[in-house]
Amino acid sequence: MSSEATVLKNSVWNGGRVPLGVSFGKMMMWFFLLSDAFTFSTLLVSYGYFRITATPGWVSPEKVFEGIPWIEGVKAPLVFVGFMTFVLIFSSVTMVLAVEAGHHMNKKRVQKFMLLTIIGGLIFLGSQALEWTGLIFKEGMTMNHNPFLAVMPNGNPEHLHATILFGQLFFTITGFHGFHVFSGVCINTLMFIKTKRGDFQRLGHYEMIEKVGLYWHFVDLVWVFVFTLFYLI
Amino acid sequence: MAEHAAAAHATAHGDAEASHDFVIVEHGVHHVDAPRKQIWHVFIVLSVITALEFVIALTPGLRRNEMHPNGILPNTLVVGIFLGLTVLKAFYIVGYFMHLKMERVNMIYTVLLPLLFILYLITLLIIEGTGSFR
Repeated sequence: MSSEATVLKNSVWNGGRVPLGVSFGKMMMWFFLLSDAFTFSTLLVSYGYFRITATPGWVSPEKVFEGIPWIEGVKAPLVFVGFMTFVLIFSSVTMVLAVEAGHHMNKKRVQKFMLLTIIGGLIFLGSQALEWTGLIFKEGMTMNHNPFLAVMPNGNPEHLHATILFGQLFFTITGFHGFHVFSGVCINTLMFIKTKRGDFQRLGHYEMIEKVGLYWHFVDLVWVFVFTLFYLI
Repeated sequence: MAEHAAAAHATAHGDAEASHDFVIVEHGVHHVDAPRKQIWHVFIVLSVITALEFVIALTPGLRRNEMHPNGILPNTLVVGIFLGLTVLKAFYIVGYFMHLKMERVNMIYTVLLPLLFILYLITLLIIEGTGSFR
């Protein structure tokens, strides 16, 4: 019995080795992010599908996203969303710095950078709320109404139908991303509290911060794609 | 019996080394830290790429489409440039911020190969998308 166990223990497939070189939790976080990547890709690919289909009648992003909240009458295309993008990239940087501080078991530094990451996430969420408010109440763009029909080729009703999809796709996809940012902020806050209480110091490592960091960078990554597909192309 | 015991002892010993390796992995400090310099370097790269995207998007008369029929570059090329820059940014975020570039090769392939399905979906829907509504 014991000798059989011994033989098994020597084989590659029986534990004792770590084929992926990461801990269980980190590997599972990667797998979760992979599944999330599939979810977002189905949303973005369906956006691309309608976009290709309705190319001549699609709205021009410079026309849709040219407002800045609180500043009336200024036409500054993409400036506000540029600010949002920058905030999210910067919060990703502070997240890496928190992870790096965790490797050195520097509790104060982890706390500081986690706090900065949370603030970055909140600024992004606030900006998105302002952007949505402007689009819905000022411009009148909703799930079934699109005021930005700049080019209408031949009055083709199919194209009209496809451009009305702009609001649906925009609110669904940025909303789904915004919800991810919101969950990220909640999880980061939880980790901030746990750091402050000294849980990770007692545990002897800050791997939780790394796992949360993976999620936060993924949110940033998705925004990079959403930004390109909705605001630039 | 004694042989078995000895063998078991030996493997237990050998395992101790292996599990030591595992413990280190568990604690997530088995890899060399990304130095702070590199973090800021990646940040600068991401910012510069984003700025470049803005310049391309906002330069008047650069892009040819139905709004600007006299643009210099064809729309498809501009879209291609945007997508290329986006993938470049994704590489920097996943590779350096998410640390995937420094993980073991098995891990890298475990994460990256399933993404081929997304390319498959894109290909299918481009083929389908150009055909419908016409």
